[in-house]
Formats: sequence, C-alpha cells, structure tokens
Amino acid sequence: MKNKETEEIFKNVKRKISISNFVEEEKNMPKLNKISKAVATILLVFGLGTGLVYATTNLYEKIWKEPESYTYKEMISELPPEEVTEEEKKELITEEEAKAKGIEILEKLGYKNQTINRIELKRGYDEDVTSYYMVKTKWGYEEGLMVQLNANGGDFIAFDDMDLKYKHLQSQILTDEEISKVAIEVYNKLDLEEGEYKLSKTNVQDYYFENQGSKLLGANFYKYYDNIANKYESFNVSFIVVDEQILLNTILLNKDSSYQKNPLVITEEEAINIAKSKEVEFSPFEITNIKSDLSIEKMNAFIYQIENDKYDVTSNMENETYYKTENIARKVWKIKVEHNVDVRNYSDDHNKYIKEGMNKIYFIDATTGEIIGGSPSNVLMNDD
Amino acid sequence: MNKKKIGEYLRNNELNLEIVIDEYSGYVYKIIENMAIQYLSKEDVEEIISDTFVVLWKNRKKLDKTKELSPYIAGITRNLVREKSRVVNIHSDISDYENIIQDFFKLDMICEQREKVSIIDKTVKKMKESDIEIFELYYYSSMKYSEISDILNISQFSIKSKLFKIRKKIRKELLKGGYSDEE
Repeated sequence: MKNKETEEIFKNVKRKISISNFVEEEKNMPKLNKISKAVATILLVFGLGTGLVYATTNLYEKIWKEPESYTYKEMISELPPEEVTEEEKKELITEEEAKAKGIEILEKLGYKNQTINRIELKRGYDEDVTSYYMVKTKWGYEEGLMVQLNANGGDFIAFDDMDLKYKHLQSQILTDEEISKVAIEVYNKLDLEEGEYKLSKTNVQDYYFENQGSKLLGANFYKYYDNIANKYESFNVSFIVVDEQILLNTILLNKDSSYQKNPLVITEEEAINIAKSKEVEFSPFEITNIKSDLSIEKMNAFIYQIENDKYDVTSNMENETYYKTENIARKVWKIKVEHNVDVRNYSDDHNKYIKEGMNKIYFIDATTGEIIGGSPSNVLMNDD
Repeated sequence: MNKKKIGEYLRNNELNLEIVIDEYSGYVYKIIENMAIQYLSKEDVEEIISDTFVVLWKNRKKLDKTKELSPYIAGITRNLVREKSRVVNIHSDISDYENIIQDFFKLDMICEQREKVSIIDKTVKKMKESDIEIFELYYYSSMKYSEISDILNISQFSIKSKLFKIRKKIRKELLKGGYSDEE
C-alpha cells in the first residue's frame, strides 16, 4: 500500500466484502441453524411443565416444556468441532462411495462423463444431516457442478451448477404450467417417490448475477399433511431456459423428521382468543389486526422469553442466558397480532418495544392449545 | 490510463485486490469527479470508491482475464455514481463497451440491501479491532478456525467464541433495525 488513503480504502473494502459474505452465509443457512441446532442434540430438556391439558372434550398430554437454559460458555463448549473426527467417519460412507454416488446423480440429471476433482467431508448443519460430502467437478469453491450428499447413508441433499451464474446468458420465461412440467421431470429424475413431495408453487425471479432481463425459474414441492405444507420437508428446484434448453441452477432436498402429526382439535376462534389474551398481558396498545392460518412450525422459546422478561436484545452476550426447546414441529394455528406502534418511539428501550409494540406471531398448538413459540413479525418485510 | 490486463492482477488465480486498489483508487476518484462530485458529499465519494472495489470483487469470476481492467472499473463506478446521486440525465462519453459492462454488473449487495448492510457496517465498525480482524479473516480471507488460531495465536475455542459473539451482536442490531431472524 502506498499511502494512508489507499490503506483506508482497502480496510473499508475488506470490511464490506466480509459483511457481504456474512449476509450470504446467513441467507443460505437454514433458519433453524441461527442458533446451532447441534446444541439441541446435546442439551437435555427439563420436563418441568409436563401434565395434561383439556382441549375441547378430550385430554391431551401437554407438549410444551420449559426450555432448557444455558450460559454462553456452556453453549460454545458444546458446539461440535469443525472437523469430522476419525471415530465419526467409521459410521459414514467413504469418499469413494460419495464420489460414485455424486457421479450417479449428475448422470441422472443429464451431466455425462463428469470427473470429480474435489471431495470434502464437512460438519453438518442439521440434526438430520450431521455430516455431509461436498462433491465437485472443479476445484474452486465457486465453480463447477456440486452435489451434496448426506455422509450418513449417501442420500442426496443438494445440487448446484456454480458456473451458470458466470455465463452471459439471456434466458427465456416459461408459463407456470411449463415450469411445473420441467420441475416434475427433474423430481422424477432423482427417483423420489411419486407424490411424496407435492408441487406447491412456481416462481420467476430476477437472476442474481445475470444480464438484465434474465430470469430464474423455479418450483417448490412440500410434503403435505392434512393439506398443510410442511416447509421443513421440501424439494426445491431452480433453472433457466436458454435457446429452448433447460439449464439447472440448484436443487435442494430438505428432509426433516421432527413433525409429530398432531391432530387438529383447537378451533381458529379459540386459537385467536389464546393469542389475544397473551398479547393483552404484554401490550397496552389496541390490536389493530389479526391474521390466522394453520401451519406446521417448530417449537421455540420466543414467547416464553418475552413472558418471563428473558428476551433481551441489549444484554451483554457473555452474561446472556440462552434458551432451547425440543426440536419438534407441530400443527399450529399461526396467529399474527398487529398493533400500529412506531418503533422510533422506543429508541431507548428496544426490549420494551419487542414486548409491547412489535407485531408478533404466536404459534398455538392445534391439539393442546398451548403457546409453543412464535416470532417477531417484521415491520419492514412481509413475513407471511 | 492504466492499460494492464486483468490477468496481470491475479495471484494464485485470485484477484489481488490490494494492488488493484493501490493502482486504481485515483482513477475511480477522477471518474466520480468528472461525473457528479458537486452533488456528492465527501462520505458519498468515499463510499462509492470502496463500493466500486467491493462490486468488482463480488463479480471477479465474470472478468475476462485477457481484457483490461480499467473499463470494468469505470463501468462499475459510473453505475454507482448514478445510483448514489440519482442523476439520470448525466451525459457521459463512455464507450459502448463500457455501457455493456454497466448493464453486465448488477450492484446486488450494494443497492438491494443497502439498509441492512448499513446496519451491519455500523455494528462492525464499533467492534474492537481484534474482533474485526477475526471477522475479516473468517469472512474475507475464508480461513478456518484452525488457521485463524495459528495466525493470531489464540485458541480455536476463543476464535469460535468470538465469532459466535460477533454474529449474535449483528443479528441483535438487525433486529433492533426491524429485520427479524426469520428473514
């Protein structure tokens, strides 16, 4: 570096690139991994709140349990090591097996005579994927075809054509019907059970890196239970069309075994009343709108923390207490409660804003009527 | 004007950004000066200069090694000035090639997520120098915990712990700014 000015520019550029990569990482990270799901596999959950609860005329066992609390140090020390250990490797498929499986999948997708130039065994991001192989046709991280396989058994997880985004292609747009047809063909190529994942929606979006006018086409498939999509079990495909040719961009198969298939017992009205009653305890402000929907959601500690004044966005991290619930997904009434409160009135007390001013989503268990979690309802973005 | 080809700025097949910044900062400043500097504050100019190199880095895999680097840099800079100053009728004598480049680069992170990135930027700037160093070694240099640990002579546990704190801090600040974890 020649002078202080260019040094300062380089410093700013490094910071901004780091931030950009952080944002990318967050975007690509499964939502439930925001606080490591690995912790959930290690830490036990106290059964302090067990018992029975009346729902309509039947007795159902309560499922909500007070979350386990743990300190920052406990949380960090329980995170698994970055590298997969030799002991763990004994239970996993070998590199050779992963390589063969990767080539097999590429061939099914229409990529013949591929050579694998890089295989890495990586720590998993999910309880259902504790470790995985990244199989690549080129060495560089951001180039070539990539297949991800669950190292425990070799099941397909993901495909990515990393070269696609660097090609100067002008893509075509298809109709919803045509997109569906292509997506189903891709689904069938991977030998997934027919109808296991049902096509839910198609989408067309601007292609991230491409020429203006280029469009990325895609479709989402979900497993359905009582006509409710389980977003934790999904098959997603995206592609572009150039000169009538389909060029696959990504495929992602999410498997998740946490849904408990609980019956619908609580009515919508009952669920709304439960959420409203709780919100009234938190907020003096008028509820201006309520939205409700049946959904499948994972249990979390959000409402519990607010109720017990344990949701602290200002606390010192090292002294902060963390809360973890069981990793279970339930059929819930998702109740969005809205106020008309300006966040700027709370610039000195963000915790108070979250408790009484922020719009919230409550997860009301559809069987027991318990509040089993929720989330902040974003004030800027549509989170429906 | 610098006529060097992009291939000359590659080190281990990766763009040597430090050298690029060293050689082109003045050039970028000149372009801004010629276009719209009277409309922009000193801070805006500094931001455009650094954003130019960020966008270049983000799009580095698209660069043709056999071509000169300066038209790419000029194209990005002009796009950023236009975006920043919202001056739509600026007449400039850019060549067709540079016009193509302007369309070619989408200023993805810079423009589309400006508010979110700004919150993170403010958060990172407030961190201790040592934490920023770890953040950049991990997210800019793409190093593993073990490599950062070797360089800084700190235990891997500390690295893991510090990165966890940094991420958590950023997420908290995003929440305060109205961006939830669920996005």
